[in-house]
Amino acid sequence: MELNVMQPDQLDDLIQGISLADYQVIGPMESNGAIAYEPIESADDLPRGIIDHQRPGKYALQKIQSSRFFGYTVSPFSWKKYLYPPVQTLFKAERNGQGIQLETDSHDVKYAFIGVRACELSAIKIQDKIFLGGDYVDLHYKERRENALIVAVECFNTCETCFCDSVGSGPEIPNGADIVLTEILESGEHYFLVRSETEAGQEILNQISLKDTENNHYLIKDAQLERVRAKLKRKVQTTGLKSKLLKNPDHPRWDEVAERCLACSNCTMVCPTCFCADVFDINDLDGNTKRERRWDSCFTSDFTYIHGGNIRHSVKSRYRQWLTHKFASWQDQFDSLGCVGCGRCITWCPPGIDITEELKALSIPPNQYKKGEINHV
Amino acid sequence: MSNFIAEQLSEHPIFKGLPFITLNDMIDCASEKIFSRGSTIFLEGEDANYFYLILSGAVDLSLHTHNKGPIAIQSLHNGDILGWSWLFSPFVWHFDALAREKTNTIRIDGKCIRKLCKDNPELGYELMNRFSKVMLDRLNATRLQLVDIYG
Amino acid sequence: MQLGYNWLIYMDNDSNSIMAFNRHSPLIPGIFEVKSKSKETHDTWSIVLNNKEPCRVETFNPGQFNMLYAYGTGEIPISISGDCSNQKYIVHTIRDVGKVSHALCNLKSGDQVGVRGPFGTTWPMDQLKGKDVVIIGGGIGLAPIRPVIFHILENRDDYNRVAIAYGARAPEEMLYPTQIMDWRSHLDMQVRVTVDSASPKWHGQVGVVTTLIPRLNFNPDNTAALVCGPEIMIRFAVKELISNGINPDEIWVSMERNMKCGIGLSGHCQMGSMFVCKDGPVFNYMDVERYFRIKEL
Repeated sequence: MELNVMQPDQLDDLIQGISLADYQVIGPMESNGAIAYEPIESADDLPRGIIDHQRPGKYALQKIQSSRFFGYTVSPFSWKKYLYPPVQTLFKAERNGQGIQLETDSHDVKYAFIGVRACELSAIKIQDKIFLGGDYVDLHYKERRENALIVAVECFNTCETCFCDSVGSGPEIPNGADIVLTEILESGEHYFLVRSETEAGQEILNQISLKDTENNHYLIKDAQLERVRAKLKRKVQTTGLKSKLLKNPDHPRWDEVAERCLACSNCTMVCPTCFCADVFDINDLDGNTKRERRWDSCFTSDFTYIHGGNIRHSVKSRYRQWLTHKFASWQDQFDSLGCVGCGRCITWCPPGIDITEELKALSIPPNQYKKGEINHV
Repeated sequence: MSNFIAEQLSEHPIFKGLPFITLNDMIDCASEKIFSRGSTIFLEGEDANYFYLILSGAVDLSLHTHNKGPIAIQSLHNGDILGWSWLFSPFVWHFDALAREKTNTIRIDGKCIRKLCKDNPELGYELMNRFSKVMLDRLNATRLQLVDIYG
Repeated sequence: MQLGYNWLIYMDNDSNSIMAFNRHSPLIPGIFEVKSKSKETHDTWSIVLNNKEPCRVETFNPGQFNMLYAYGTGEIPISISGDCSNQKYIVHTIRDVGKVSHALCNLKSGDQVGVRGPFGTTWPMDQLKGKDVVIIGGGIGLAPIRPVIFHILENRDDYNRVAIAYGARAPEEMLYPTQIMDWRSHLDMQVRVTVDSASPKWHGQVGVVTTLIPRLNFNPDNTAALVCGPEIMIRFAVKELISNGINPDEIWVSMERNMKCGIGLSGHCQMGSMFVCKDGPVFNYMDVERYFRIKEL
């Protein structure tokens, strides 16, 4: 829809407007030395003037002289934690005699996400396919997702770990947002370019008095996006990648990466598309019980346990499962990659394993590959 | 009678198309032998002078245990070869062979075959090759038994 | 319960419910009652379940499984082992090997259990019509394939020669011995049984189940084979079936993986690109053949 201009002090009007429409507003804020996506009350909670530095195995925030609200790239946390909570009670149960009685709650909070990045919106769309697009719908996800309002914000900066463009998930915001913001801070001017993409988004914007855009606003917006694109140095060559991964389960690189991988599962916990879960039955002393669904990781040792033992006991096989799933079998299952290039798994890997580098090495035919050929920095 | 034996021998994979030997030579070493249900074909420790082509019925190779009696370890049926201890010194059976059902066999004199092989090493090599295949299949099946594949 | 949330009671009294789980979510079980229970072996029990409420269960078919929930203990996938033409009761055969299976084996008649399902693919009963059918089962693997045998017995004319080969560790570990005797008495069925290690009382065959395959009567050009048992048994049985002339794409296998949800949402059961819970458990061998060759997939 139409692009308009919003002044920086109207950002709070937007947040209050969303809040008045009965949404719980979740946005970025600085918390414990990181950007976190948490409930916010006003624009004052936003991490103004804070940028992030991310490298393999490294993360740091820096306060700079800037009034930019959205200067950071991505939080270690993803919006997944709201749509698909890390711990979720599926039902509670009580016993009466030989009988069982089940109860379950409905989720009546509507979330509004402020500051969803292109890669993050792509990730939400990937999870939509998993939880809503198959034969069975995850109703717990559905009720959260259908009620959510998404305010996407275009990237101004990139981190060394970003590679959204090469996996087709950014830097332009894909469709699916309700409101899209572009924060412009140049030539001493600070404003937002804003557009709505849904009725729900338009209703919110209708309450703010926005100014019309001038012709050069489009140019400024495009130029900013192109600068972001040019900064994205890290790449994944996706053409032919699927068959290379599927055909070479015994590529020597798997052994090499397994020597570095701690199987700590950090990558899967920060990944915005990973969806594996386990269930736990938790009993209290009154004899009542509940079942919780919790995020799980294919790196844990008993992930594949069946009577008699685990199927994937080596770290190699677990790393192979994860990476092959993201870039190959995911395509068979959900008709897309399982990676959006947000770089979180690179940043939060303690030994700094870089999946783009691993994929480059794994793309070399095994018989031509020399050990350590593509080395981490 | 010898026509029947000739037919059985010439069709059995262990002898079929066997070079360096005539059918008559083989027939001279073979005779038909029928075991009634429950009868003993041979016992552990006895001289291993024969081997058997099983034509019908069922034979259990078994081991006699002091406290549980005979325990079957492998069953053999029509088409199977019973016995290879006649090939190797000291030519003594390692297990008991008991007919679980009425079993028709062709019994072949091991000594007789051994002599033919001694006279004709090429025949000996070929026959040993074929027996090795039987032993390999039997060993592989035994290995699977060890793995507990139904666990 | 007043917990500050909007707790809704989702007990399903609606006779329009078509699945054995709560219609509000496929992740929440429906409640069934143990009608009866019988001991199969020293560690294996069969339980017969019927729906607590007078509501219809969706048709279940040979090869499918349910997620069975033992109160306060957990939930595991268990194949349907009963006759699928009787849609009133669901029979499951469970081996007591873990926490949840132990709890399920200890249920008494009248106890309630949670059931989600039926899930997964089915044995290809229609594609088997007019063919010789070879059924290979090992250990507890006879349970998921027993509905096929029931189906064939009820529709005997649809199928040509039928051969069942069943292997167990020991005579006392064999499932359904009386029923096997009964199947044997059908002149139009070959039933062969073997054990790895015999007892003195055992008067049957000794050896692995693969050794039975060459002795079954079938026309390899018009035969379909169904194999169910641990993966290692499947591997060797398939090899033997193929070397006996059966076309690899006429072989179906039932696979086992860790399953948490039964509907492809928890990721645990992945085998290559397959979710064993929804793309399986029954697969045509050619669809999974490549996975057998990759270790720790």
